[in-house]
Amino acid sequence: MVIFMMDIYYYVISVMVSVVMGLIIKLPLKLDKESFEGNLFFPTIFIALGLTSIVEFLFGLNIIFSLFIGLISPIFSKYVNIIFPGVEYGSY
Amino acid sequence: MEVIELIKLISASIICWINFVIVDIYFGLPKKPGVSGAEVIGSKIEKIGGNINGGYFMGNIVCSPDASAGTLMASIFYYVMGVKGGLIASMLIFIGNRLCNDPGYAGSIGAITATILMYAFSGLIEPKYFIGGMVIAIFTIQGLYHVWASKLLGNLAKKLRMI
Repeated sequence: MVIFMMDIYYYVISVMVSVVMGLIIKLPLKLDKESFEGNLFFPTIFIALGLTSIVEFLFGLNIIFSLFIGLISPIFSKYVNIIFPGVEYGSY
Repeated sequence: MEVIELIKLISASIICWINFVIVDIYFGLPKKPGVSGAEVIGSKIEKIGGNINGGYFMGNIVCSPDASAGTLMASIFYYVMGVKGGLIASMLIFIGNRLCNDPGYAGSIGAITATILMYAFSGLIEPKYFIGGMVIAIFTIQGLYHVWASKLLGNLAKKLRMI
């Protein structure tokens, strides 16, 4: 029963804010398994959940942190192909 | 008592095996090699008598942290920190995937499904059995006998219509 000990509402808030922000900054809706571009759900939701749990582990959660994570994870997802690009050399 | 522990270990390894093989096949590991190292491993396994698609699967596992490493890392993080550890593991696996020239779907989704499975089985099987079980599951693929393992993986991918 670990999941009820953590502040699950803050996780829900950060995921929902990140999806809404992703819609505002026009992330693509289509999932493409081959592509290195981010889209609305991948990796936005995973980054939001991971950052929220890291923040909970380090500082404890509050609404400011949740909103901030919801703000930065779609921006990371928009530029993920520039931050972590795929390489041409040696790839198939 | 030892018998119960052994049963828990074996069932955890079966759960981990099904999780990582299904997720990896669904996200297209047997279809093509991601980097040239995976291509070398695949053609080597074909040369010793195995299946080329199973060889690509095994080469991709070696060359980038896919759902196999995702399941292992999620079970270690779950052992240390609980469910939120699994969420952290999926984010770190995504970054590791991207450093290895991989889009990152298989790794992070495999870590999330492993976390969900461990939470679902948390009353029956403790997370430490999942760590050992995942090591056994990877050993059956990568260590035991490459020809049979690659044929099994190729047939599974054909059954699931992913190649």
